Amino acid sequence: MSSTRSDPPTRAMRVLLVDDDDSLRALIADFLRAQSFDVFEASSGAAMRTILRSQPMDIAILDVMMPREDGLSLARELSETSSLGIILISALGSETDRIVGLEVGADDYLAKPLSPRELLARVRAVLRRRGSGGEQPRRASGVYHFAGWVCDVHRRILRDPSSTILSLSQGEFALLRAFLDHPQRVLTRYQLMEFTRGDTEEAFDRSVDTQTSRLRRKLASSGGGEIIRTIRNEGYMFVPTVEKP
Amino acid sequence: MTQNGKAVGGSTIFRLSLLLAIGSSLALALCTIVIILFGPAPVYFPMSTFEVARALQGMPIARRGEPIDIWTAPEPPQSNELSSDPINRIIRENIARQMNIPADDVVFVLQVSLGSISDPMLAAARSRYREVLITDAALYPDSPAFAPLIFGPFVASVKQPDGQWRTLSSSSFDTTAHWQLRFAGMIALVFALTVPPVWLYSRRLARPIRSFAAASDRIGRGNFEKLPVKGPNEIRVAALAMNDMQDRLERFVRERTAMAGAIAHDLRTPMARLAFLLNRLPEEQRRPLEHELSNMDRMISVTLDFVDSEAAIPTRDAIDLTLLVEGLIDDFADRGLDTSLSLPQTSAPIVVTGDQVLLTRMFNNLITNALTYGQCARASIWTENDQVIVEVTDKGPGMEATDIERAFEPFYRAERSRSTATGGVGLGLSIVQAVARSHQGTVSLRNAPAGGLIARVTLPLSERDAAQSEQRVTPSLRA
Repeated sequence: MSSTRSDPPTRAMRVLLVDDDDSLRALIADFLRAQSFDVFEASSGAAMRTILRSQPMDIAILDVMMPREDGLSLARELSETSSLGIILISALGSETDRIVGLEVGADDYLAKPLSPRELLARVRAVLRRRGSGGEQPRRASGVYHFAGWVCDVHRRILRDPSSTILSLSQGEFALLRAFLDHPQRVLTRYQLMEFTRGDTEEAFDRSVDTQTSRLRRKLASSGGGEIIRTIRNEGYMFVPTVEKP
Repeated sequence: MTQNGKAVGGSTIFRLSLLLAIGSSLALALCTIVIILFGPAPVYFPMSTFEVARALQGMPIARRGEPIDIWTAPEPPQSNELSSDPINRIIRENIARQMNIPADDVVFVLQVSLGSISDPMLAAARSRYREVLITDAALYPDSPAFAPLIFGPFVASVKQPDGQWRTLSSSSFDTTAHWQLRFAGMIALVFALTVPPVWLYSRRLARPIRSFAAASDRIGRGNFEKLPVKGPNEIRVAALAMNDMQDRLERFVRERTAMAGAIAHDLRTPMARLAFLLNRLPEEQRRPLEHELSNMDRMISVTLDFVDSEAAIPTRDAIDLTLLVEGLIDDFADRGLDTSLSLPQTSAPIVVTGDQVLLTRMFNNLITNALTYGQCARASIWTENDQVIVEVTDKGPGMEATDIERAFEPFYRAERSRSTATGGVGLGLSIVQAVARSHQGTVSLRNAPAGGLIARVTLPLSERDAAQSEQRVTPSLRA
């Protein structure tokens, strides 16, 4: 529906697809080509490096379970040597597997069986995030500090200054993450909606205002000063300084 | 066998308890022997009538330790008519003669001692005493030197010139009873001295058994921990056997997890292929197949969740449980589902110690169940004593009593969830129970009086000290 919004019209986005399973790789490649991506296929780490030497890529999709070099080590290598967006796909869907994947530097982690629409949404979200912030440093650890609070975005853990874990709904967490990435800046409702879209599969019925006021209340329940300020007729601002990973 | 061999030797419960029994009875026997050999012998110094007469006239006499009471009263405590024993008459007359007063002004009664009733030896001694005294009195009744000794407790009273009666009593004195009493006292003392060491010894003996029982209990509730191989032999053998069993169980759990992971992997890759193949079909054919595929995926996920919940060792973080439940309720509400949460009046945070991932999974399952079978999920949370209670209520048909009993069994599915419409593998509540148990909590189901099912989870509240100490540790871990 909104496929053209973040794609530059000049050239198709280049996707590097690394999977040792030939038939699944071919199926994914066909699907992405149908969505007008430029897809390059590799069946191993060696093949991946050969392609990377000849062509600059925008995003890499890596299967975690591969013989010899697995997707995790390839993702770590890519995150250290390039600014590619990285999506891991894996048959292991547990929380721990997801965290490990994000901590080696992947932008997203998808559990099989992934639906084509979901893959497309995630690819676009990663491209949008990488595109919007320019050359963003990679945040493998995912741990942010602000005003005595600690937020681990991979583990989805938010600790108040007394180290108690405060759980947030998915929508609130996505909002907090957007604030943490853009602190001390006025963010409009539209921007917040853009930043949080694609972070989760669910569409949020509640407006950004409702989510923000819930987030503000939860952050305030542990005391401390003002964290989210409402800027009338403009939007919201995250007040404290944020120590980014 | 080789491991058991290591434990053999050293003290056994059998040997230790035998030692305890022998030791304590030996101690008692030794003390008894010491008392008999070195304790004061039951020696009795009898009074003569001469001494009684002097004492009754207020003159000093040599005391040898017998307890004597002397008092004056309008009436004598006893009367001569009480006994016809000739001893009493002979001694009374003797005392009267020594004091130069009429025999009627003297009352004398030799008491029957406690021991002489039951003891034939004492009875014989008394009758012999009587015979000697009667013979004495017959041989030299008027000799001024005749002042017989009085054996046994007695009461002697003399009428004073003013009509009052002056009484001397040696009534309580009974050497046999006295000696018995002292002996019993010593035994009691020895007993009192023996009890504390025996008590300590028994405690030492019982301690490894008690800690063994406590550890077995923890293991039974799913917390694997190696038992220390120490204490008496039998306990060490049992601890080794228990550790062996735990090794096997842990290996079993590991293998089961690995197997489930392998199955999931092997299923999920072809399922992913299927998902992309389906994408080529026209919409009306694709939709139902996609639905089936996502059902399959849910079943695999829930199976993996179950395996993980059973095997996972929960982390110990301080977690605001109110916000955890609230976040989940909001997640469902954000998707347009009918969920709500009612909070207690007090706004103090409800903090538990546990694993955010596992607790989220547990409440997610309960809320999903309520929504699937009861159209809505009404959660409430409050504290009672040191417990936090979370209830999730729905508006469904509730459950049969027989189903409630078995609801937590893995793969058990109540009638209401057997239809394909709701899907499910029968693991949701097993996951809930596994998580509750691993957090030292409980979970139960009951039908609401007004219809619907109430699922109740009880968890121990975290001690704030625990949260405080973790606060100091965390920053250094993160650094």
